[in-house]
Amino acid sequence: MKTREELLRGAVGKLKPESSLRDRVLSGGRRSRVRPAVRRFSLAGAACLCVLAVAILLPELLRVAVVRPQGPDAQAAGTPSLSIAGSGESESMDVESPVSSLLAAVINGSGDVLAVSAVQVDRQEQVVRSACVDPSCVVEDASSGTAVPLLDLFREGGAQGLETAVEELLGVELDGALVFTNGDLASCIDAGGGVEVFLLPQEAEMINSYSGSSLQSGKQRLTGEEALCFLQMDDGDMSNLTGRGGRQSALAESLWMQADPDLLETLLLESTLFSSLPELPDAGGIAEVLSFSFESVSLPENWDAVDSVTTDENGARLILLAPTALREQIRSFFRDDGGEQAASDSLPPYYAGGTSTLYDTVNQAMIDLCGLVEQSESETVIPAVHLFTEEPADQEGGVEVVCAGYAARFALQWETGVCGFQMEGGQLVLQETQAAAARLLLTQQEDGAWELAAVEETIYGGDPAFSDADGLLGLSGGDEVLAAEIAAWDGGDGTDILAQTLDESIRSYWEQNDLEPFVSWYLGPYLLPIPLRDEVSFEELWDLPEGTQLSLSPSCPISSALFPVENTTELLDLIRVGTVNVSEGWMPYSDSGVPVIFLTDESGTLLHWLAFPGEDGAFWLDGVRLCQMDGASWELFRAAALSA
Amino acid sequence: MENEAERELAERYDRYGPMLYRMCLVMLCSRQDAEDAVQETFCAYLKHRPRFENEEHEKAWFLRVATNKCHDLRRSPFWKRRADWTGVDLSEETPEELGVLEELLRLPGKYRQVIHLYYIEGYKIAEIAELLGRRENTVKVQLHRGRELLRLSLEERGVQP
Repeated sequence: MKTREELLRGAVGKLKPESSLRDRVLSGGRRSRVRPAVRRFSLAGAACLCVLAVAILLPELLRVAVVRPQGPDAQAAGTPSLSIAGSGESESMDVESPVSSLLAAVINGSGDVLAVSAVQVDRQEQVVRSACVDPSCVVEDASSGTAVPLLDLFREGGAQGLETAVEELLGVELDGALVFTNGDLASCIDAGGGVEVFLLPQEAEMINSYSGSSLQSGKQRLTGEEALCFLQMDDGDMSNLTGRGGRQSALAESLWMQADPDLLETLLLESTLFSSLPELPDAGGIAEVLSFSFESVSLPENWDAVDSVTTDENGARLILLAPTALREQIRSFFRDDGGEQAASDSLPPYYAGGTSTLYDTVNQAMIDLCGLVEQSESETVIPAVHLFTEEPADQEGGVEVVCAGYAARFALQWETGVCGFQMEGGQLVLQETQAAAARLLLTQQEDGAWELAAVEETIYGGDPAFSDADGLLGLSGGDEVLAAEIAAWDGGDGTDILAQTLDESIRSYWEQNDLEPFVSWYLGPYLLPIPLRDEVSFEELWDLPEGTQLSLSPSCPISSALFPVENTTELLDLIRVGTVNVSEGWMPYSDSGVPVIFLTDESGTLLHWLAFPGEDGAFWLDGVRLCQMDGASWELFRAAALSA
Repeated sequence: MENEAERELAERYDRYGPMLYRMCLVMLCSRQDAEDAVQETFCAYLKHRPRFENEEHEKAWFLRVATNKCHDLRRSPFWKRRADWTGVDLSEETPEELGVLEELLRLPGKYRQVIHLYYIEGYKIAEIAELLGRRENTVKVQLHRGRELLRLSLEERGVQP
């Protein structure tokens, strides 16, 4: 009889690709299937060569040294090409962190910022993320206290001033800045044979009117000059797909897709833009970074981050921002990946400070007894301690407590796809635990705080937690009932004292340290992730911001990520007119008994999938849309689904 | 020179293509998506022509890039989350093997991937951690949880150890 492992190997091992795949690969062809042509994803979506160059250079740059500009004299007005080299002393940063960030900007001859982007290179996850910020965004200038648009900041504060302002605006730390001139950018694009982007009709018209070209809308290859027009034009459109920020992002993606390592190496070596760097990467190094995934977004990504839009005295557009929402957007984007990334995320050390100072002291004692320490800044050790007895120990106010619990080391990870449905969000994931039971003597200080005076007895736990009957009896001072109580402390099924205590500790830590914006779940010793946010009623769903994490069922916390709403009426229309076929089935993203229903067209192609909690009303979601139905509609729909 | 490049590509496809296809199929649950991911992986190879230190490095590069391509596809809003086995040849699998395969594909993606690399490709935990950029402990936990989930579902199906 075959073992499960052998069955597994046998089943997967026999999966073979069609022979036509070999032909497709060997012919060097691209994907044969056409995906929907939405600009941001299919086209080129595409932003600026500097993003590309920075992404390639960043790892090299940080491995060797970043020479920061010192003070506003780091740039001189009218300097045609500004490098990051300063005239002052240089600061060496031997950074080995897998995640590094840098500012990239393009300026014109007058020092106006045409494009600005925060670029993050994550070597661990092998992804480059570029967040293009609309230069019309207004920031507060710390030195003068006045509000100025980003596009003026280089002229007024130099590269350093621009970097500081972007850091402040986005709430990210940048390791340096690179600034290019628009002329250099255009030359680089021309040397690469132009850049291919998708032009909307009004974009083609504007480029033609500025540069005298005769471009049509649609997919076009732009010269350097035309690409600059594309980058610069401001048609008042605030969409992050079709507006100015969207164009930056589109150009960046396009250049990334078309980049040739050998050509880039030649360009970098021959360019004087990067002369401050002691070493430039070779084609191999460039190829390595180009093999990373590239993600681009334009900020503000949605209207949550915009307070209002106005114009200055010259009629130029100014975007007044809601910085908290903007920072949320960049934080979400920079952390957004399917894998575990830590490095730049840090967790505060454990401090709950909720129950009592005595309890806090016992908690800290348990961490010390268990000997767990954080392995990185993205980790924290949280105790889960239950006090079984608390009795006066002597005449001087001492207290003896008998407690059991454990210390648990958690790592902050960015997770997707946990527990069935697509989920995205920060999660505390259990890494290691150590259980202990102890009799402790605590004394109270003059200021009321409690101090650990002595550890009178300790036993360490394993699995099951405490099997040393004699040790437990000694710890409980011969009290058999208490010994039995401690032994039963860890039932191991998630309903015991340990689970409740741990849950309280984590929630207390989460609230005290205001971790709500970036920690949504924890994954403790039990199988399912536990949501830290409250359940949301169906009535409230419509008002939630996109991307909110939800738990669909109180009895089984299943997570889901809501995706951007593109056309909320389409699916409802489909359902109403009855042009879809309905079938039930399973899918890899569903478990725990939640039914999933597929909607297919007449040819059997799947249009949408839906998941229902199945009781008080109906909730459905699919890859691109979110909607809800009332109870009556759900009953009709359910009946149709079951009869199909 | 061109023939040499073609020969190299063919060699690499024969060496890694089926393995990458299996992994992509397990990750994406769709033949067409898996083929796209494999094709994109070899396109990336052709485009960048990375230099490899040894065969292990080369294999790891292909696996990593294919993983990235799968993530790219899954991130796309146009990726239809579905189990589409149209065109997948399952004629050689026994009913028991099909049952195991179906349960494997029901697992959340990250468990599927770790289980695939560990049991099918024979990578060690440390190697998987390096390959996926995760901590060893995380991989251990994911492997443990994935195995447990798989065990439970297979027991429900009556597949004994």
